[in-house]
Amino acid sequence: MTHLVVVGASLAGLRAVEAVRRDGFDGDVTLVGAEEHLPYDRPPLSKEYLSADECPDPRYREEETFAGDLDVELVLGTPASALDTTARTLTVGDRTLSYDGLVIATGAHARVLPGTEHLEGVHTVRTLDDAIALRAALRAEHAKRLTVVGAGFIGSEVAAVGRKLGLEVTILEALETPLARAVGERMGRALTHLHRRHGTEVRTGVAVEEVLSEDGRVTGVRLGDGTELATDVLVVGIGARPATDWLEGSGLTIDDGVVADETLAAAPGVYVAGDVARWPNALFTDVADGTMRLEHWTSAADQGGRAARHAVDPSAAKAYETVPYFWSDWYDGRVQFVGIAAGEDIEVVAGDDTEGGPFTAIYRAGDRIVGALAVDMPAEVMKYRRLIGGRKSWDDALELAEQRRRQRAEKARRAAEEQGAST
Amino acid sequence: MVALAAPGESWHEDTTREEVSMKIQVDWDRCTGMGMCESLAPDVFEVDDDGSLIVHAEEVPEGMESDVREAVAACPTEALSLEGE
Ligand code: SF4
Repeated sequence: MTHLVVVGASLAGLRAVEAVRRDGFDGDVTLVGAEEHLPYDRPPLSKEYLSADECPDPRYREEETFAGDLDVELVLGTPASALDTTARTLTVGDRTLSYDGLVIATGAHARVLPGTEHLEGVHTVRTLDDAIALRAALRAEHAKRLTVVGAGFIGSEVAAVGRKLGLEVTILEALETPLARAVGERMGRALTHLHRRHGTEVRTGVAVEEVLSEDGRVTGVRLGDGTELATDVLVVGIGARPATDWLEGSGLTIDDGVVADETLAAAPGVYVAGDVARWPNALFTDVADGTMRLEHWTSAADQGGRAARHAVDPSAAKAYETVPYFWSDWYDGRVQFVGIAAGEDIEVVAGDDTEGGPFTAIYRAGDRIVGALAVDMPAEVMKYRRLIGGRKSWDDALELAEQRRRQRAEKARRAAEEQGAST
Repeated sequence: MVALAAPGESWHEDTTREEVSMKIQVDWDRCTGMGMCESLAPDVFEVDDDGSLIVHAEEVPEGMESDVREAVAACPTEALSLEGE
């Protein structure tokens, strides 16, 4: 094994090259990225990066780190355009790179509303350039009204930023319940309360019929029922599409992502990681069918390292299973989810979900706990994550919930006592 | 071994190396109370009700080296590191 090529220079790609170097791999390593930027941290782009007065630097590492400590050749600014898995070559611009092991971590592209790509005032939030443009748009003096299409996590975060910056914010969602797929119907409704509590208008079950514009700049949207809504900034948060177009003809199986086996292998010597990867997560194959593709920070980080280790030493490849985890910052609160939202039962084990939190809810499938959601209860979800990863029973989860209840009550009692003593 | 500002994921169970005591370092400016560390090494890390991190041990307890290394590698904000590795 002499040459590892990693396509995709975001979190998964970065972790890929770091992991093998950390293990002492001394072959050549090349990191290919479509964007000009050095690898950067994406989660802040829809949060602090937009809201903070001082714009944080989202890059993970300095350029010297790649050339120096990591000894990685960076090929940035041009996307890979073709892959030949028989010859083991990759086309990047007019270069052909030969590889012995390959990691595909090309991520995903933001979905757009067709025909609006070039309108001024219409934004997606995926890349650093997207965020730079949106940051300026939200802070422009004439920006008073923000409309967000899609009540998913990214859209919700941007809406929260909009409120923080003093804009009038409306979210338009095609589904009757936002986030139903991600967290289930009931919890989707619970999260919607968070928006309403903070003065964001949420309209569900509405279709965007047309984006209105004047002189190349967005002025509003027309909804399915004919209503027109004026806006200064329009953010499109309707999900992402895995970046697999370039793999057409490569022989890899593409089905909403690059399909891989349980070790993340898509073909001999080819491994996948991050948003583009679809693989059977053995932890859940008994309760949810088939394969999964995650667009979470933590799985990208995790899979990046593993895919690269497998690529340089396929004989040591192991099945990869994980408890998915994501978080989302809305207004001043934090939404955290672990596991999967499949299953028949959801039980609120702490707090109250009818007003948007704080609360913790757990998800059951069969006899197992498979998921947990917390709003503004940061101490809770990770305790359930361990149970989910250990395939623990629903009764175990209820027992933990009971134990946590006692602990919180005890803590509250002591705090009250201390307060009583000090007055 | 290449020294990195922040290590990648460490998942192999290499607890066989010479036992030197390792100190757990937290960069408090970076930690956002995400709790990944707790889910991997709950005896050492715990997120409190207010979202702040409690570290229960200054040094990595015996037998927990690989759990703690995983926790260090999994922190989303790269707030954790080990001294004396
Ligand atoms: S995972 Fe990192 S950010 Fe989260 S609590 Fe642990 S140290 Fe803090």
